[in-house]
Amino acid sequence: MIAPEAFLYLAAVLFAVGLVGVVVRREAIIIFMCIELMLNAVNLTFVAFSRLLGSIDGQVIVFFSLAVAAAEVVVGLAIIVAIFRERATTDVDQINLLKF
Amino acid sequence: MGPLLFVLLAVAAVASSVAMVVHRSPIYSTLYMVVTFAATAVMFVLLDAPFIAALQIIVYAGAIIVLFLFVIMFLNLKTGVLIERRRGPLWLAIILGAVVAGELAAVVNHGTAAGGARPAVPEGFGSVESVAGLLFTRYLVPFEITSILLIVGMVGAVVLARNEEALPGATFDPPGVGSIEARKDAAAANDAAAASTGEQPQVVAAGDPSR
Repeated sequence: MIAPEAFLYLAAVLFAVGLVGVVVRREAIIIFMCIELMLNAVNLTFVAFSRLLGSIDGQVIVFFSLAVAAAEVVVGLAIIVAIFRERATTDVDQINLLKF
Repeated sequence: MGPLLFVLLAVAAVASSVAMVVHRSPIYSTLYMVVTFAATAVMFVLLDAPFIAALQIIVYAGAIIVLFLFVIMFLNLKTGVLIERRRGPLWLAIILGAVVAGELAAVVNHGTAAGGARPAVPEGFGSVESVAGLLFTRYLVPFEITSILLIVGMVGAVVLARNEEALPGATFDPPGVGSIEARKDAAAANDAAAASTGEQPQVVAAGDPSR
């Protein structure tokens, strides 16, 4: 049996990788994928704590997190598609105005 | 078996997530993301959460990945678009990531060092019954709100990504193209012209074998 702490450390590393991706990349879709990676790391933390504390509540929270992530992906990708129609680019450096 | 599997999964997850961040092609990044999510799903199984693991595969590795791939192909991102120019030094971002990872690890180390009693998990921990039992009693209101959220997300995506051109009553009139009726007239005229000169290809085709 592996200690659940190991999963917590791994989730920390995955979260940091996702954060670096958000900072480094300029493509809106890749940034979006990195946000998903960070959400995934947080889900792993929830499940690890659920196992650590012997409480099922953490897994229920992950269930809600998955639903929110799905809705977020749908709306976010629709926004990216709408921006691409307007500007013919998804480079976040060129999308720096709220209204254009 | 257990520790070896964990090390394998951890290496796969971290390596594929790093590859996802650094790869230039969005398609490859998405496929690396599948590997990361699949490895995480197996870790959920190791953590006695088989139901959440199944959800992870269905929702993340299934629906969300397909959505990403669909949008990437829909936008038809060219190779030239993919070449990104980075702002600022890369090492600064790596230092930032290392600091954040170290910070989180320190928090985990501090929070779990006290230890305390580790309750043994009961039979059926993380099964569909146990999760659903909590979901439909204590978390019933959030569960219902989630359905509203999904409806709002669905409507929002349709409104944001709809094609204004295809709407009835839309006044889309690009310069040099003309209205839809004018384009239909032009197409009809083209068809008529093609029909009147229909004999021309037949003559060529008949002339071919004689040569």
